Amino acid sequence: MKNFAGVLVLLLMAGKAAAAEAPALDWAYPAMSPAIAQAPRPNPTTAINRPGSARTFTHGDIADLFNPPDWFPDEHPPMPEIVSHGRPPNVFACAVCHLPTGAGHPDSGNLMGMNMAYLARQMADFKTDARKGFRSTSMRIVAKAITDDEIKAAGAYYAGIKPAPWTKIVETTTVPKSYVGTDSMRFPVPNGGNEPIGHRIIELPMDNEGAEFRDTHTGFVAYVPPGSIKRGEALAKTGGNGKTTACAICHGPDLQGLGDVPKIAGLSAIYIVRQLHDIEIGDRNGPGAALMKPVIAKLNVDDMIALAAYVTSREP
Amino acid sequence: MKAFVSALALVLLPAIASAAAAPPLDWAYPVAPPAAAAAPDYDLLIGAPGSTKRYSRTQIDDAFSPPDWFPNEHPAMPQVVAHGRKPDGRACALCHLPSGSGHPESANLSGINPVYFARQMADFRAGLRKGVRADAMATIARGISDADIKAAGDYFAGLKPVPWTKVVESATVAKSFLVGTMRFPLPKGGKEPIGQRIIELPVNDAGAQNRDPHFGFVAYVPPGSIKKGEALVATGGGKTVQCATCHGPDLKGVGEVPLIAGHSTIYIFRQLHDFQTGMRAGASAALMKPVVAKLDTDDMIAIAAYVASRAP
Repeated sequence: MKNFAGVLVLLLMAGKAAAAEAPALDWAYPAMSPAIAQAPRPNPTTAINRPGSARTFTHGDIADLFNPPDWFPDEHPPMPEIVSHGRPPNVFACAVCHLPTGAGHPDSGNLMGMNMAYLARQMADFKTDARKGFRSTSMRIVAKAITDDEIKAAGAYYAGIKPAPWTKIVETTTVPKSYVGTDSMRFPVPNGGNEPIGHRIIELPMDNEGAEFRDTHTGFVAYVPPGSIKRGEALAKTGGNGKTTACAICHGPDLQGLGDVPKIAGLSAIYIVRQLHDIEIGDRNGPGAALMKPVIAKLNVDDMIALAAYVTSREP
Repeated sequence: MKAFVSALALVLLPAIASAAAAPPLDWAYPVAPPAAAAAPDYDLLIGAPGSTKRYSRTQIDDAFSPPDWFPNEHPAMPQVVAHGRKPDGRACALCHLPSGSGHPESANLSGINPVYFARQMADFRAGLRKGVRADAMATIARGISDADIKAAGDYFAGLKPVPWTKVVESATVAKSFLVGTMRFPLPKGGKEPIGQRIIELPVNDAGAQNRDPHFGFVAYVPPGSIKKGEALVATGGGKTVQCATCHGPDLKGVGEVPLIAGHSTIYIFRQLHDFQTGMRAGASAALMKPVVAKLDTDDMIAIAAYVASRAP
């Protein structure tokens, strides 16, 4: 890992040049730069272990889209085939990005305890390209190849998982310098020092190798500008004098979801910003998005950051 | 028709006596009085203003081939809408009419979102919508196929909603009685205080009786209801949630959330009350439950009056 990171640092300049192509709010839509993608890969046969797990996987195992690692098989029900192995060539195992627990990485989505009907609707929306844009490419490929029965199996599995805290919110004026590395995840630059957080959320792994190796015990820290949580709480609870709508009306009193409206409490902070922004620019359509469109119409980036900070900080 | 109504008046006494057993909001949940109406001439052919068609009373009440007075005013009806599916799937048009406008005891389906429609049918099937005015739909929903539901939903979704229920504020209202499950003014019955009720009566008694889609309804509501309802709908009044949040700025629906503007007043009241009591309990009802939790009967009458008064 260390050598790999060292190579990445060397390639970072090139990566920055490519970042000019990234969309606005690029911090919310992490994309591995081409330079980093072309970096030498670690030896696929090198064995890896994780604290607390008796299992061993190799780098190759960890990168396997159809058989990703399951470090703690006793901590979740048996996975349906589609979750653990997917179905080649286009249905990647759900657990690759969403992990066996459903907690996921900031570049994907947190599915723990998610409403089944909501999940099925999202799959339908990915299939019809009603959800599109920068971070939905993989899901659109998967959704076009997956069967209704597979969706049902995966939905039932993740709906049945008890949500657990996964993203910790920290308010700060400065944040470690970072780069977007493997799996479009952001990692701190080794010895890179700090930089101002600005109008961004920077979500970093609690344990870099844990994130890289798909460990389900090590979550993420979302750094947000000072004051974000309080500002977000006011917007979420009151709508901020007509700026938006109180989230609880549809997402439930504790933001745990209501009917088929999804739970949002404790989800990844940059995921939440992406959804708000996607709905605003029309990259997330579909019938549920129609309800959100007026809700976010008057929000600026700082509002979205604040809402995401507050919503993520809530007990999932 | 006149002779029919007079005959009904004669049998009214037993009907009124039995009304004591009805639920407290019986005005919102009309049910057929137990006393059978005196039989009209079932074979006499009846016309409708502006229509060249003639139907007998037997034909008008044929659950599997109800009248279509104005076939040129709507697209071709799918089989299930025009004729239903025997034995349990009565034709949609029987109660909802070929126009979808429906009668106050049923529902207005014109321009309905087809996904919402399908979900309601699933909820009827699953027993998630129940009660005295939903049981008929539960039987029908279980008696028709998924393809029927799709066809009916697409048909009604494609119809343009028209004004159908006029809301009138009034301290008094014509005394009325139920024929089947529709309310009619009592001939020479005089007036009575409206009280804490909505009384929805046909614009034209024969029109309603004959399932004529040219004659709508008047919903009499207590004075001040519309303004009170507007305040609740527009601001929530600390008691509820602004309807527009989910039903859209003109209450014409957003996404799969249904259009409610211009619907039958007592239908709207029934739904609010059913959410409150749990008689309507599907996935989306979960969203409405907190919305109606603090509303009392007067609030629901007011909201129904305002919503029904909006252009559909």
